[in-house]
Amino acid sequence: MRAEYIEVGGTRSFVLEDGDGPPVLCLHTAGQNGVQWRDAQSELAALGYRVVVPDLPGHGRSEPAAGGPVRDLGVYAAWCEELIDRLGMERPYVAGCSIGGAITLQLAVRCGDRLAGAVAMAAHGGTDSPGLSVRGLERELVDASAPSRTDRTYFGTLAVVGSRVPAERAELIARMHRREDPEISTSDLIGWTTHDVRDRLDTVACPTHLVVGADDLWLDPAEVRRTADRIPGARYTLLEGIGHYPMEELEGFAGTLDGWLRELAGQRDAVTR
Amino acid sequence: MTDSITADAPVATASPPGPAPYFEDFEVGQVFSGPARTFSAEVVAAFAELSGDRAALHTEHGRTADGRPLVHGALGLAGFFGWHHEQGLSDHVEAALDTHWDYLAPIHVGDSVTYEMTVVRTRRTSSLRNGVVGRHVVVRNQDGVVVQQGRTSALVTARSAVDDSELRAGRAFGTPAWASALAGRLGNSAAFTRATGTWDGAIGLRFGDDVVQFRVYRGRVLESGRRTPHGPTFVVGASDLTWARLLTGPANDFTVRTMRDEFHTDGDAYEYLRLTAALVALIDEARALVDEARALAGTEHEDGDR
Repeated sequence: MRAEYIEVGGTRSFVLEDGDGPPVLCLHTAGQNGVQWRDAQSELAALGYRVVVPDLPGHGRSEPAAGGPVRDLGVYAAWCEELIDRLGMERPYVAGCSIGGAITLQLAVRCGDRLAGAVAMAAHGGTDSPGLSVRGLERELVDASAPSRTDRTYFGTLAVVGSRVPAERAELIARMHRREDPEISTSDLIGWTTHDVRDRLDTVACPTHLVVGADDLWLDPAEVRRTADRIPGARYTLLEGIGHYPMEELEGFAGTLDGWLRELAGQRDAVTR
Repeated sequence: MTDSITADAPVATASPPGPAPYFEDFEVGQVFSGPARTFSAEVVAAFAELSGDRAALHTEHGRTADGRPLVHGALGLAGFFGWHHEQGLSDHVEAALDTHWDYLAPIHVGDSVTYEMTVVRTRRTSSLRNGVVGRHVVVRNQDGVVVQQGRTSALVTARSAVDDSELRAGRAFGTPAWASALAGRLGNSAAFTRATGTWDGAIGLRFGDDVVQFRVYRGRVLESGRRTPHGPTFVVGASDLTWARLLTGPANDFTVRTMRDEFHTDGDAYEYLRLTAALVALIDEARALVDEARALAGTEHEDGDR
């Protein structure tokens, strides 16, 4: 594994790399960091990929974003595009979850022609009924009005981990999610709530796969399917017994992701031929 | 709410009683279902004659694309009582007491519906010789769509006229006897006393229209019951059905149900959020109380996943 701090988008950013082969950029969820990919990263690297896991600005070991907490997922997408250049990732795959999945879709819209493929998990292209409100989230940003924050993150995480996940694993996921910076996660969620690329989904120029867990209370699978329907040739997968964090919940996730990436590669070959 | 009911797969949480059950045989959390019932054109025509509601909507053509006439909403409801009788559940029913019914989606002539009944409340009357059984009913059509749902309670004869309220307190959710039994457990719960260790207030829980309160001071429950001198700091409430599923179901899924908007909160929302862990612990204890009540009653239960 290779760890380094590099300057991306004006932020000193932490990136962990493992393996050689076709590059895969893996994006974490709101308020969390690259540690969510710790199992998948080395296993996927062993299958012959160069797996790049950054901490988004303000998360994990990365310094805060230059302009303060990010409320627009497009900013993260631009940061990812710069990271891809800085690391010389040639035709990378992108796989992300939750806001990471939404950023993956933003990248597919912005620069799909540069990508080998996109796997967007636990995300849609935008919705008219986001569930969260910007007003409520802005109130939550005032620390004094956000009681029991880590308890709510802990129980809230347990509530959206799938029924197939063993209790011990669910407990580990939920305990680790307590490590967030509330200012950053809440700002991320404002980005999630306002994320909307629906009117450009028909222009996506890379093979795309949308994945959602059947036990994910944050998402309506029908909404994810609608997103897939709007992207030319996109695939859609519903994971039974899995919730909002497939890369942390699904045993042997790297093998599953490898299968999806191979399908995307096949799809691209079929298109270019 | 409708969505959550559709999504909520029925979970048999207690063994249904045999035929001709008495009041004592009904327990909160029991789920009953049975064969589908089809509403043919003849049945709907007969109901139109009986009720006098011969509106064209029911007898000639409905307002949907295919024009199939609509089954009377009241026939869907009446069908529940017929189903109840055919299941052998009506033998000791003395009277129906109330019905609150929602018509959520049309039932068309030719549709087949199934009834699913969950026992959500059992209260012995002061005469001791009978008791009120509250039932929540979900009606689904052949496609699994919830077309009607409601609550209805019946007065059911008791097998014997004895005061078994203490024995049944563990499932008598929302009663002062239940609150008192729960308060005893909360004082011994490390999770609850830690989470409320710096707190001074009263937690209110609402079951349908009934509220019980727990007056808490620094981790101790000073008092429980219908009233406290200053009233509740906040009240967390849900339908009897939600409470029955939460407290007798396979897991403490309180957070899931709050995310599905099954719970409503009144009063100080800050203090409600502040007591997140305390409420989870309270529900753990209420679920343990159900297990205790099962053991006390000597009933046999199969669900081993707790």
